[in-house]
Amino acid sequence: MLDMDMLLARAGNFTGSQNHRLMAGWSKPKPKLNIFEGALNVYEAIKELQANGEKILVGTINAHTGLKFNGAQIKSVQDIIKAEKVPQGLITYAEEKALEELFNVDPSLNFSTVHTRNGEEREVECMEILSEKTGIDFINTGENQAHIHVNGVGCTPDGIAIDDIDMIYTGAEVKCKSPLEHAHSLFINNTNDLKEQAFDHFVQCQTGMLVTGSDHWYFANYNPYAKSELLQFKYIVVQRDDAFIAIMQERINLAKEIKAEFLAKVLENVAKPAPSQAEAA
Amino acid sequence: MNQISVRETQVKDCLELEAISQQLSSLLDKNPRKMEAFKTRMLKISLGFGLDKCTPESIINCGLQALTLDLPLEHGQGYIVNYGGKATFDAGYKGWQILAKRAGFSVMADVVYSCDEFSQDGFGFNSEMIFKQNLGLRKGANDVWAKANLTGVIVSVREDESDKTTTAFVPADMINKIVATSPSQKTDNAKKFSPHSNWAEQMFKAKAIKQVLSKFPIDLAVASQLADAIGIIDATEIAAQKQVAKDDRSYPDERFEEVYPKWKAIVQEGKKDAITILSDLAARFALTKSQSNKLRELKNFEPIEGEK
Repeated sequence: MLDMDMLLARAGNFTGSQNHRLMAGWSKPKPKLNIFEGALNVYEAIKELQANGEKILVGTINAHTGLKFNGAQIKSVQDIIKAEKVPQGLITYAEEKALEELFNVDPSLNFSTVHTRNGEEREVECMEILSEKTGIDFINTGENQAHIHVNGVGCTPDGIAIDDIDMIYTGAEVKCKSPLEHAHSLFINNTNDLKEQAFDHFVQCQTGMLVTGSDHWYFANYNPYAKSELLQFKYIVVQRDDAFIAIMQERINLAKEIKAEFLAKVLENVAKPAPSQAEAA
Repeated sequence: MNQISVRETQVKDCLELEAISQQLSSLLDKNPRKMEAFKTRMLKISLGFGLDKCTPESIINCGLQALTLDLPLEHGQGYIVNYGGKATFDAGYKGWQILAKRAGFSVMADVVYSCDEFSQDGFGFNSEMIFKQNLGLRKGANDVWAKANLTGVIVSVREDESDKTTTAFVPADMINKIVATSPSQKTDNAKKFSPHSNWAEQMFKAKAIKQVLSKFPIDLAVASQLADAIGIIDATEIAAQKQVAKDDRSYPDERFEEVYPKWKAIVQEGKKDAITILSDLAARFALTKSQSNKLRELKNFEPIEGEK
């Protein structure tokens, strides 16, 4: 749980801990329209029929284009159109970010439990262990965490390390979870494992690197109740994934557009006077 | 659930934690009536003005510390102070007198103001203090006046067994370092709550006594509570100093001028954008307008796209 100052600082920003919501289906290759001759004609026909609310049938497509296509060809174009759709998760996330600009933080929705508070306290301990193991002096930990944001994208690392010119050169995300979740985290040995097994944390680390320009990040897990000391703590170094960051940046740009449109829509409707009784009738 | 109910649930949850229950049970000899009374008191304190944003654990911890020292959180013996959202225990003037008495010392503190006649002469065993209160001009009950005119506090410690008396002077600088910078009195609202503001003279005395006793040779076998209290209040003072350091987020101009050419170089080399450097620093420091403007100028040194 973050304190109120931090929530206010983060308001409206696309933040590392939530940016996985932008990324549904991110790894699917972009479909191309040169899959067969005339695919573009089918694409335009489907779009037009959809806009008119008509059913997509082989016959109607052929009639519309004046050409002859089979069901499989039409289906492959339909898949391309489907892939163009913006994921619903991204839309919801963008709209929530828009509302953070219009609404204050409701403190009752930000309550902590004994478990989250224990986790927070352990995160500080975990950062101390990480510093000890890596020899890196991580600062801005615990209640001194910093929220760094550039152009509406932000991250709140659990710790950052500073170089000799006071710039952040790396940061850390630490997790202090239940025994089961902690045990699963022990299977993560490198960047690729993190991407496959804890995608949300992978996105969080990559967002940290996007925002700070760093080329690596630390990801650590800690549970002091493991009976063996060997099981209590583990960390990996996460490498910057430029290809992934480029896709994430595209999605962020798209989400920013949706956020702006939604904000405008809400404000436009506020500005509209309520209809009179006669108009309503 | 409204805010108060949420807060109540948090505090109750915390009071049910096994570690806390066990500690409470041991401190109160498993007396259920006393344990319930403690819980009720903690709940009331947690909802009170000035402490309602502190973590429940920190408030309960203060309650347990007060029990350990056997000092009630009332009648000027013990206080709970908010340092950056964390409640910390602080002992009052009377509290220190009681703790010292239990350890076999009688302690008195006299506050010296700028209107009084005060001088120190000599050193070591031969030092001599001259102190005459100017009762006509003193306004010790006025907290604002008291803070503005504090010269220091004379602390006298007498060993009850031997009647041996020691006197020490704690200057205002030392007391202000601890008390005047207390974040619990930074805002107007907090000032209404803070014991440091409302009972300034009492707190000057308390801080001065602690300062002297912490340097005093104490026999732990007979004065373990006093030693515990010094340890606890040391932690409180460290929390206060940390909070002050956190509040001072300025970036020194000298350092800025020293490092700026290096930032310019990494921007020119395409290693970082101007906006990344600005955001990085702005997240951690309260930059001045001129520093921000100068960082924005780094944009002019970014390489043209494709030349990076």
